[in-house]
Amino acid sequence: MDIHAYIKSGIIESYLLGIAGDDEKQELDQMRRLYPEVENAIHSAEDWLQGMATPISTPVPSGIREKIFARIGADIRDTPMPVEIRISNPVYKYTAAASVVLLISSIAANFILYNKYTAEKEQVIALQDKQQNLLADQQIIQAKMSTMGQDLHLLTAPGIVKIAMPALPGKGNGQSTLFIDAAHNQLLLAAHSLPAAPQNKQYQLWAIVKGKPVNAGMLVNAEELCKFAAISGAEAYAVTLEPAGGSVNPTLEQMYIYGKVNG
Amino acid sequence: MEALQQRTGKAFGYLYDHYSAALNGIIIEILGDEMASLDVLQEVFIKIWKQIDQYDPAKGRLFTWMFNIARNAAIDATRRKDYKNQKKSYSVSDYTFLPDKTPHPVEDAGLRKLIQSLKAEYKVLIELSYFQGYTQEEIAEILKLPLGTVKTRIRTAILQLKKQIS
Repeated sequence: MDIHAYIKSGIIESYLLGIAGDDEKQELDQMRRLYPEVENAIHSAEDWLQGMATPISTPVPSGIREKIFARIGADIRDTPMPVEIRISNPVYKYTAAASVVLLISSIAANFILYNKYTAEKEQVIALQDKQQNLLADQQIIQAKMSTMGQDLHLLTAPGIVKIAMPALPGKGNGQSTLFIDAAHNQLLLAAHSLPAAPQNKQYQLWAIVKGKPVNAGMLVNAEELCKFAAISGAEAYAVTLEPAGGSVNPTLEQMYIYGKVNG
Repeated sequence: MEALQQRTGKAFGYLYDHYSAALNGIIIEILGDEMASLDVLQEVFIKIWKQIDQYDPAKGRLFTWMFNIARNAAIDATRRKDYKNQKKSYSVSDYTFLPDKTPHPVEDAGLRKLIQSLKAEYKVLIELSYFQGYTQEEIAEILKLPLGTVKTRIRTAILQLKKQIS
């Protein structure tokens, strides 16, 4: 809408003169709220209205003022109750207005503080999470170090037999080592040469006893050093890649490492 | 304003001293009877006193508010006075040479004087709406004009009046 044209349409003046239609009054009430220009135009039109009344001003005979004041005074004496209510009305009005202003500012302040509080709270929770994670990491590292210390102790103990198990061609790189700890009746495999097992596959350790493979246990991928129960009379050891859970007989094409027990 | 709304007699006295002449002029112009106007003026100030709580400064100046009370009271008085003539039917021609039927001391100013310069079709609209207090719908009915035309002509009339004053 062209506000300038609206202001100059004469609607404001007809509104002030009291001759605008109800639809025009409603429209103007809306427009003055939306556009400061309209509000300003109403103020200047009020000047116009007052200016128009000035030349026709007609002084009132002096007796009238007294008559009016006498009637107002009589009103107050005759009906004390309504007047009391009327007197307190403006106070209520202003108190109510002040309360509303206070309420709104209070709500705004609360809202700001609440937002701040929520943000801070989230930050604290994030920090707590981080701390928990660090603590957990530290515990894991400690546990690992402790295991490594134990393993190292074990591997360097007297009476440990080392068996070199080099990677077979096309089946990983380098060499894995099997430690036979006769004192504790266990096997330790440092399977450094094995690639990570594919999904649904698992490495299986076999002992060769009298020329036949005997299941010695499954390798758990995550561990650095896998422990197995000792197998008596083993001539050699081998690791094959088998379906997860292991097989009864080794899949020979999937043999990754092999090592003979030295006499 | 606060002092006034607390109805201190002093504030009301101030109000009366400042605005009684202006409001009196407005009432006389509508009613056309200076003696009867004094009764209306008393009514108006009693109403102002009683209804001052209803004045909302956000909606306009105190003068504008009082102006409307005065105009409405004057129109009510006119209707009481002209009750017998109320069934008279109006037509544009009635107002073409509308005489200033309300001779009063300030003939050279005010809305009544200003509308004399307007064309008849505009003059009648201001006469019926402002001076006699008919609604736009009632005027459309009286003059057998579409409501839209009434609205447009009232606005045009006002713009012409405004040119003369500003």
